[in-house]
Amino acid sequence: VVNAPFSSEAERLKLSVLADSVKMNIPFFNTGLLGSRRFLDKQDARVMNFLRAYLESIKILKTEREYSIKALGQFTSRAELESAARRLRLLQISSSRCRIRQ
Amino acid sequence: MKKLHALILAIFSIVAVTCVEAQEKIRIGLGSISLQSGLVHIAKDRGLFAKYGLTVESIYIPGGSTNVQVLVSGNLDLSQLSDAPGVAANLEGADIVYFAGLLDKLNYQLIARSDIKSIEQLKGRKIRRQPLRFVRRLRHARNAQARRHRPGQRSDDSFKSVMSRRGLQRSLQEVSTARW
Repeated sequence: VVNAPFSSEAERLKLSVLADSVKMNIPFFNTGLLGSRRFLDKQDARVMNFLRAYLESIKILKTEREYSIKALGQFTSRAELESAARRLRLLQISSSRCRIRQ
Repeated sequence: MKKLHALILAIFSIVAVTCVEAQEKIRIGLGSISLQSGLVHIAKDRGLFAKYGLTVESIYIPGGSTNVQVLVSGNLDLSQLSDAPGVAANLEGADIVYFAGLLDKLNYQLIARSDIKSIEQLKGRKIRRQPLRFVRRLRHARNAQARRHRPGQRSDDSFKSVMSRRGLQRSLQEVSTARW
């Protein structure tokens, strides 16, 4: 059982993909940002600025395909742009909504 | 003239130092090198954090449980993690909360050798799940609520969910999961 980005490597190695939970559209709280209540309360302005930058980053990911593929490839140290493109598609499907708790 | 140049240089130096000091720092722990943590890289690369007056130091700390420990110790300001470690730590009494959710779908795939073409062929075989040190620690946890939720087994839960959706709950009982 693997998650991205390793699943694309598995496909490249001609391994069988028996089930894909992304295609099955299973709702799940997968990844989030967390911090201590004390830090969030005391530094709320700093955290809000962080979230503003983060949301703009998501916008770039969703709208600037070529740049995002290169950036993800660079970040994960993987040269295969095709693989990065598949990972990008996966993330675009998965991060359809970014929920922020006020 | 030389004095004027020196004065201008001094003013620019003071302004530059003030600008650097105005940047607030945030240390964020990344639990994995993944698609999601790539967002921090993009924000840095495009100068988005600087735009909002932040200097963000991203620190890769593999393993959710270790990441949470560093967060609780105060050496990190924020963390980007999957659900289980933070929830488990919260149930154990740590004063940490999730304040943003990024992915709302499971993103796992069940991969097999090329000669295995269907889930039914997994009967009697071993499945390798991703290492989850936290699970073993949690088994010894005193908090009954935490034990009931059994956080830290996301890949296993994904696998079970996929199997049950395919009507293969019985097959699941015949498949063993192992770590090596």
